Amino acid sequence: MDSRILDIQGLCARDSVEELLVDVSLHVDAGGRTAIVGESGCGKTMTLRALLHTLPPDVEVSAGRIRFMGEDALALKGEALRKDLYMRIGHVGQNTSENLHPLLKVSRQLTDFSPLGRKEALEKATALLESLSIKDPGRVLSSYPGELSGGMRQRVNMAVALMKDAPLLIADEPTSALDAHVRRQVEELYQGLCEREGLSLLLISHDLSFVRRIADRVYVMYAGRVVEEGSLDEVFGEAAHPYTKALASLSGRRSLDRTRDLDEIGGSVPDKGRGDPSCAFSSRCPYAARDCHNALSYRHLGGSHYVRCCHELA
Amino acid sequence: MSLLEAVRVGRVFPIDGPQKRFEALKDVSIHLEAGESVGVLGESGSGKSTLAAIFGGLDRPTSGQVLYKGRDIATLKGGDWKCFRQSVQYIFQDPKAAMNPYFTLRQVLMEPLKVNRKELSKAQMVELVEDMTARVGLPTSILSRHPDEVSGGQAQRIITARVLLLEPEVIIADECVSALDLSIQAQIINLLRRIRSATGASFLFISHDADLVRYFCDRSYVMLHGRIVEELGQDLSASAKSEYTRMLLGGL
Repeated sequence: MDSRILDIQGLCARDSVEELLVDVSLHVDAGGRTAIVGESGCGKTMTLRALLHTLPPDVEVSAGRIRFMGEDALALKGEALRKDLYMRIGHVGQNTSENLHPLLKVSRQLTDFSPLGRKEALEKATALLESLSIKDPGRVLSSYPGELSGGMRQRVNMAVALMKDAPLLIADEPTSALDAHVRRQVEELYQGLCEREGLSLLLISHDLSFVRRIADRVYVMYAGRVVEEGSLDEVFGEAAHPYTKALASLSGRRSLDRTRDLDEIGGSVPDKGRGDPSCAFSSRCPYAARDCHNALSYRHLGGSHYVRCCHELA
Repeated sequence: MSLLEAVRVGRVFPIDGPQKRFEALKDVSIHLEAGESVGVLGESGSGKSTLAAIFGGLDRPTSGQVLYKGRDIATLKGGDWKCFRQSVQYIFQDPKAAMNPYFTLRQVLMEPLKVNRKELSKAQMVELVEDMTARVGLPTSILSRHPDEVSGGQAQRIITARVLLLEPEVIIADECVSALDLSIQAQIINLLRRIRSATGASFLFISHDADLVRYFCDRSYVMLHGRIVEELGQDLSASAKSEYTRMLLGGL
């Protein structure tokens, strides 16, 4: 058995005009907790969509491979795709309304695909909803998704993913629509799940405090590439990429000064030229110099810590 | 007279036929003055979004009234209704659901101008749209894409741009940054603050992020089970009395 439950190597994806993912390599160890962080538009979700065969119609994988539990995940089709991929991955999507069928009651969406009998499945669903701090699971189960609030729908999505008892759980921004106190509970739930034997987690989140509490390995993505990777301590303790540093300094804010603007990273993720071998962050980078326009490769900083930046920052 | 005011508003949704009812709002009264930014805090499912929809004229209350400059919006007709809809704009929680998927982002942004600013020439509209796109921190090249082809954060900035194009008096922002990264949250909030000081727009700011509400709003309401349970001053925690409110504030 592979020590990596999910192993993505050199993944490139492009649409008819431009490259969207460039040479993305990342892995989740069996029982490991890997997080991908980065601003929206950096390719975090696109990477997941390649794995789940849900890329937009005009986007294709142009290079690279994805191995999931020993199988070539990109080559799976039909029944094998369902059995070997979808039933083995619990996926909590980002857009809570898109991932639920609007015309089916929550109870059916939680139980239909379950191999358990209907009664058992309903009991399990009820227990799951309760563990997600839903006080009246009966009402939620007999509701349609449109009758629930955003935070409720997000928890229903989590319950759908957990019903399968899949070995890999993928959570794409799982806490963004939750109230602060529910977010705490959900975090504890994820911590509990991860400590349960065998469950691996791939987490996508912009909530770095959540990532810090959950993950053991972190990838920082920018403009379709991984720009820094390493263990949690390596990436947050000794951040080597200016982009990682900027993200970390933003998440440190919790007492906000009304008299001044919030800190932001000026500009936005560049839209074009992701295939360019130079540094895509240089237009926003406080350390930018002429070297940044040369072709870059990864620098090894010790352990499993790699960075794609030519500066040696203290 | 308040700029916009909800008076003893209730909203009941039928569930599974007429016998079962769900009371999403019960006897809610809130007011918003010109130039004021008011927060609405509350746990998920407490009725914040329902209140926002009714306050913005997107849904009708089953009891009570919403008054815009003292007039019941249910009685507004023709030009008066259009004027109300133009002055009170809504930034949605789920930006992609608020755009026509078959439109390019350029069309998404042109639409409100075509409807509400008929006096402008096409070239003037294009200029306004491109200028606003840059102000929300997006490259104008993005305008040829469809909602499906941009990230959630980019979509939220387009929706914000669409609202700002109409220079509204009241902006209702329903969890408008909760799905965004901190850096983009900061860009949007800074943008809203700049718009606020430039135009004097009023805000109803709905969020579960107490820190942001404290940062952005002058005072706040706290909701629980469809009711307003507490009114707070700017410095939320100092004036919070109930345990529920302290839980909302302290949960961070």
